[in-house]
Amino acid sequence: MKLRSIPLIARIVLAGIVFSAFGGFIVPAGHAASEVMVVANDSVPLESLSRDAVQEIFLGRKTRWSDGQKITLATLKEGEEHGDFLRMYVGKTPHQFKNYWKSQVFTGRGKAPEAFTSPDELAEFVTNTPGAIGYLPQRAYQNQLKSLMIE
Amino acid sequence: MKSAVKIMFLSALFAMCCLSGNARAYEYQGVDIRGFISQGYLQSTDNNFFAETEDGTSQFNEAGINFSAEVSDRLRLGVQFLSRDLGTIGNNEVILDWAIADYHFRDWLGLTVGNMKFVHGLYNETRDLDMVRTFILMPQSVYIEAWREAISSIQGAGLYGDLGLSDMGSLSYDLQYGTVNLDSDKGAARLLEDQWPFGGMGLLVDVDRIDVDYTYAGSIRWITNLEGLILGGSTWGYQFDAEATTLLDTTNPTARALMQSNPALQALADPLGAYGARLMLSPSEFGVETVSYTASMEFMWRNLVFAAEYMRTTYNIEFRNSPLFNTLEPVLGANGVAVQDGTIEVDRFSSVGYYTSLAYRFAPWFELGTYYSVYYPNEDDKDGEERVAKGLDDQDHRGWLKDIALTTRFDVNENWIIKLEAHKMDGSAILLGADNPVPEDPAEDRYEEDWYLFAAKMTFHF
Repeated sequence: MKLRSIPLIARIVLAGIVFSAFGGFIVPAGHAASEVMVVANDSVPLESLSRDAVQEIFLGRKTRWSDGQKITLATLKEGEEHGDFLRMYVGKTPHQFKNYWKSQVFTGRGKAPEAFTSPDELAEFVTNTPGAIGYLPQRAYQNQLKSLMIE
Repeated sequence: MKSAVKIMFLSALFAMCCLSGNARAYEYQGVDIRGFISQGYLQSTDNNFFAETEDGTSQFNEAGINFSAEVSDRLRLGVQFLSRDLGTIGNNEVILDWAIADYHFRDWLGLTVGNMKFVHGLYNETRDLDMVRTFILMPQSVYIEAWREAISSIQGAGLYGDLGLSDMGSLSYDLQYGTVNLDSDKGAARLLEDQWPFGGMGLLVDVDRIDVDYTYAGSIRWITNLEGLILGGSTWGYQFDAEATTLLDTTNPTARALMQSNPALQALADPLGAYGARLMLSPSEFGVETVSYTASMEFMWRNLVFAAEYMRTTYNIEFRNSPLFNTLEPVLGANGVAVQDGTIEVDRFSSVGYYTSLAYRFAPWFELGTYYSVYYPNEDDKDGEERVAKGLDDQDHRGWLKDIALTTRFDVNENWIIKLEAHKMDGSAILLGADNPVPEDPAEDRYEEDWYLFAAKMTFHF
């Protein structure tokens, strides 16, 4: 099979792949880390959580607190804190996290977490929703909500 | 009626796209509504891949809309309608993809009843969802397109749960039991007709009806304590009976010998053979038992995703047609086919397939992926020589398919995705004869061994 015998439309697809592959290599993807804290509604019967438990909670594998209360997830839609939290505690990038929950939703396995545009909205939701857990920038929200120590 | 359902489905999907405004999930009185539409284009240099891809085809799409609601803390209800098309498969008929009632007793135990997505390997449940993966076409070694409808969803009941293993990570499991509605004119039936083990002796079948006795599937995933590493194993099994029209290909020498051995058919052998006709015989029944095992591994490290899977599927087939086989027993016996009580039992055989894939997201809008996939329809005949010797095919490369794929994915925004993909193929296993008819020129090969397949796809989801 010679490349010249490939139809024109297919050659365009192939050229697109090669061009974009090289283009992708020169795109920067990193950023500096920020500090995030895990926050919860006052009704949550815990003061600390293991890192593994945070991961299980945010991937929907752990759905109830020790007192049987339902866990309600609150996430940010985007931003530095969102990316840092997912990387540090969930072991996924924002894109992988989003895909994970899309897979759950579109296969009937679960309901996607509440997602908020601003930390203020998230803080308000966690404060007012029994069993809720989320994450916020540490500096701006220290001492405003119940924070969980991550062991 | 079917077109009315299609119009209603597409209208609802379109309305939801518009209503959702910012193109995010739409919620109405506690009911979440989500959907997606994918439209693709396929072009191959040689060989038709489940559609007329040699000429280029846009008969390659998927659309789905789902509704789900949490009725209580523990009970969730949901339904998804799906329409898809790939050449003659799907034809955009709207089907009930899944419809479930899910009761979550504990984290380690949940019960689902209804029509559930079928667990197999790492990605079978999400194979209709173009937006959650890098590739357009899944590796055909483990996610064969012809089997897609047969292992898309299962009607019955399932148990699932997550078990914490302390320092060892956690385990997720799924157990499903039920049945599947298999159409006699869709992928799995067409593949069976195409790969029919007696094709070499001119004894063909045209499947009229399939009754699935039972189907089961089980999956276990170990989410290890090594960040990003998941190891998994899954199995599924099928038992079904089918009724088929039995056909004798009168151009086939063995079939002609069969006819000449029978006084009733003797006189017909030469005239029908001259016309290349197929002789319709009394209907047959056959039973198929299939068991499949898959071992899986996925490793995510930052923007890198590596996956590898290995699948082995074993087939056990019984072909029943007492009046015909008892009559033809001497000739069948001379061709090494044993008849017992009007039944022919096919030697158990297994197909194997495996792949490794690598994907890397360079930027929020751009991802590059590649995989290498290998599939053998019969693990004892990896060079295809036995197929040729038995007369099943006249080209040995029908005995394998090796695929190197390269994909780029562009996330235009949160809702739009564009993908471009190229495949370098070696071999022609899994391709269907119905899509690749015998060429009129006898000097031309029916299938090409080395060929390319190109795919482009655009997806919108909310």
